[in-house]
Amino acid sequence: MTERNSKDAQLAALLGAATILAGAAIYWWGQIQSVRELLEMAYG
Amino acid sequence: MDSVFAYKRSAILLLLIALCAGFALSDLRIDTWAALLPFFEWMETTPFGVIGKTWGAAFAAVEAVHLLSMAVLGGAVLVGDGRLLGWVFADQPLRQVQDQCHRVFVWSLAVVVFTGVFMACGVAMKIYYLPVFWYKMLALATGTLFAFFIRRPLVSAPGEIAPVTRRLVAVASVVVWFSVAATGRWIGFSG
Repeated sequence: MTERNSKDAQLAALLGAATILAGAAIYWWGQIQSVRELLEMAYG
Repeated sequence: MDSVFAYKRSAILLLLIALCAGFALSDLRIDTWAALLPFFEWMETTPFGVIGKTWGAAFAAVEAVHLLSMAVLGGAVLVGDGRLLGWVFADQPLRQVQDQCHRVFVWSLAVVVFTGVFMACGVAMKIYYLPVFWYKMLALATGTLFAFFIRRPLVSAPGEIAPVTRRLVAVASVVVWFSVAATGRWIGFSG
C-alpha cells in the first residue's frame, strides 16, 4: 500500500467514523426522548 | 481528476453516504419496504421458518448459539478497539492484535448471520413490522462494511495512524456494534 493509499484509508476512516457517530447520536437521542415521553405520560 | 482517483475509497464512501441519505429521505424507502412483504411471507414457509415456529426448543437452542457468537464478536471488537485506543494489550504489536481479533470477528460474524437468518425465518412477519429490526439491519450492514472496507484497510496500512483517526474509528466501531446488540435485544422485548 502506497503512502497515498494510506492517506485515503485514513480520510475514509475519519469520514466513516464521523458518519457512524453522528447517525448513532441521532438514533439514540430519539430513543431516549421517546422513553422519557412515555415515562412522563405514565408517571407525570 | 488525478486527486479524485488518489482518494478513491473516500470518494466511494461519500457517494454511498449520499445514496443512503437520499434513500432514507425519499418515498423509495417505503416502496422498498412494501415490496419486501412477499419475501418475508415466503421466509415463514421455508424449512427454517416452519422449524422456528413449531419447535420452540430448536429456536431457543439456535438463539443461544446466536447470543454466544454475538458475545464472542463483541469480545473481538472490544479487544481490537481497546488496542486501537491503547487501553489493552498496549505492549503487543498493533497489527498482530488486529489480525487475531479480525479472524475471531469473521468467524463469529458468520455464525451470527447464519443463526440470525434461521431466527428471522421463524418470526418473519413479526420482525417485518418492527422498526427496530430495520434499525438493527442498518447497524449490522454499517458495522460489517465499516469493519471490512474501512477499519481493516486502515489498520493494515503501513505507517502511523493519526491518533484522532485511531480514536474515532475505535469509538465508532464500539458504538455501531453496541447498537447492533442493543437493537437485537430490543426485538426480543417488542411485538
